[in-house]
Amino acid sequence: MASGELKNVMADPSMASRDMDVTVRKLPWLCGLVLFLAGLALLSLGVGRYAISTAELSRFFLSLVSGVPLLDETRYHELKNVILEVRLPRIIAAILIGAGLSVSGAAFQAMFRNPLVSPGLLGVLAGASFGAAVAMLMGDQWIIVQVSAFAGGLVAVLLSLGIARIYRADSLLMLVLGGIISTGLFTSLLSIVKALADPYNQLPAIVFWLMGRLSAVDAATVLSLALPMLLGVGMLMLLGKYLNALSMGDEEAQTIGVNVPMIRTAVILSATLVSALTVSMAGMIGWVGLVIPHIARLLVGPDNHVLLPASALVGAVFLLIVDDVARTLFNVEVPIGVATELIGIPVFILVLRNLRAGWLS
Amino acid sequence: MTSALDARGVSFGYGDRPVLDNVSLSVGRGQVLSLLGPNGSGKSTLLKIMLGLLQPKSGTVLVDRQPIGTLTVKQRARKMAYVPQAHMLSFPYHVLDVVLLGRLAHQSFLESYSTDDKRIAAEMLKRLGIEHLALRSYTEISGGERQLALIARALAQEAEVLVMDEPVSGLDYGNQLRLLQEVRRLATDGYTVIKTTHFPNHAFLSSDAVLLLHHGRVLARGLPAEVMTTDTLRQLYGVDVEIVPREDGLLYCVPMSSSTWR
Repeated sequence: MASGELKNVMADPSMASRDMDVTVRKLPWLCGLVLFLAGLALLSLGVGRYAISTAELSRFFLSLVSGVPLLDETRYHELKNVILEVRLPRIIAAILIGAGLSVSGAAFQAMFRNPLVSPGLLGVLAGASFGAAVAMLMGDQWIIVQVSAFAGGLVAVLLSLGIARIYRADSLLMLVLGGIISTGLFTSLLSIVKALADPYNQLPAIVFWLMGRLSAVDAATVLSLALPMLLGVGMLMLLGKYLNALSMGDEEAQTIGVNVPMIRTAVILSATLVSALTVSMAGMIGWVGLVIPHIARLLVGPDNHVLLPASALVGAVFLLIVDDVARTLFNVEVPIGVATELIGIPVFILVLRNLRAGWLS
Repeated sequence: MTSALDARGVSFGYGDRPVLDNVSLSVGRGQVLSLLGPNGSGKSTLLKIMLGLLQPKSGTVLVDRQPIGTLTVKQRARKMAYVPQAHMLSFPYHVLDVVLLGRLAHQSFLESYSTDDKRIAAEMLKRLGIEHLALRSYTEISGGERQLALIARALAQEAEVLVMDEPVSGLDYGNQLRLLQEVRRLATDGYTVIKTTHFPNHAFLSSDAVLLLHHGRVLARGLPAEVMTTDTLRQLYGVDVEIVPREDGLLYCVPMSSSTWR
């Protein structure tokens, strides 16, 4: 807002509503991001080893919607297979995972009052990896791997909460320590599983899972996991104003009327649900939950009311771009988790340079 | 005079170590009460108990004649606001966003800030003379300005009782005096203020009543001039001071003249 405008607002407080409404001021950013994401998703449908031109894409969708055949029969079925069975689920998964990890990260950063926190803080990613690895040892049924990953993530977070509870402390520090212990435990358990795994079949499968991969996502997975993920993400977004309060410190938050234990539990459960499901969908995808909130904060500021939706959108865009790059740049597909790391790290370094936040000084 | 806040026989301890022993106090509406006591005397614990952040081992705290234990967090926040010491935040929120948080206690779970909320936040900034800071980052303004912003947030809460933890700590001399004037002005406008302080002079300047806390017990309480004497301050802080009246009657406290100062 220009300084002249601000003077007007202050001279006439009734103007405050319109001009100072953060949500309204940042609306162009959010709308822009939504449009950009939509365009990118459409473009991504054509991207890959089996390239499809935009003209062909639009003709395909026209015939799909209208029922009028605008393409020859075999080509139509070929495209239908590639687009609807392979690429669309993968794109939706990338959007959900990017959004989910970023929103969880932003929420955790606010709640733990620390911009260097990522969604894995309470052990959810370590637990989920262990869960997935155990299931792969038992057999290679996809659905069991997914359920086991999710369960492992939940158990790890419950363990951190339990450790914090033993000391009766509702303090954040105990929670962080609980997370460190839980992460350590499940990381070592994972090593045991790796040591026990058959080195020719199971071990490579586990290792690849830990690198993250979107290629394995099918329509059924996306359909069954999308709803709970969206619920978790939506819940976190609704808690935006309370996250602002929590980032003032627990005691202060309580004195301004926030039921701290309730809100904190809601944040942890929602973020855990979302993060564990991302692992169920596509394995370990690092750096997104740490880096994206910083980029979103540079765009729209730290107010969680706006930051969380912005993080979701930026995260979705980011993972979609990374996936497009990962599946086109080289002959062999780069695992998505490795790609997010390779791209996330330089982005993080760039973002750090531009941070104006108080914690850097 | 009706009392805005009462503490009755409050005791508290961490494990076996007693921190507060049978502390009672009463603050009238529109009055300023200063809590004085050396480090570790239990001032902060008493503040936390009065805010409902800690449960006393025994005793009760009444705000507006209702026991705080019977109020929800939100109901409490509408009656009593906390002004912490000016702190640093991890995120560069706008000052306005920080003040708006005071409106949370007046909202239902999923409501977002209404026009009224924003008007009230803007008014409170104006009242404290920091409206020009509304869209500045909280992390970029000075300590004095941050303290004023936190008071604005407490006022936006529309609570009658303000609890302040050493509100002048970390401020320069001019800002300290201006802040004490602000506290006086708030009392004139009907707010009840309870604050802790380390400075007898500030208590003389700004309070209607004083409570001296020593090893978790009330050493004395009442009018500043009656309570803060050479004797009580020696007991409290272990130093010799002199209480001197100025021409207009204001008392002030200076260290006893002694060769150790030359």
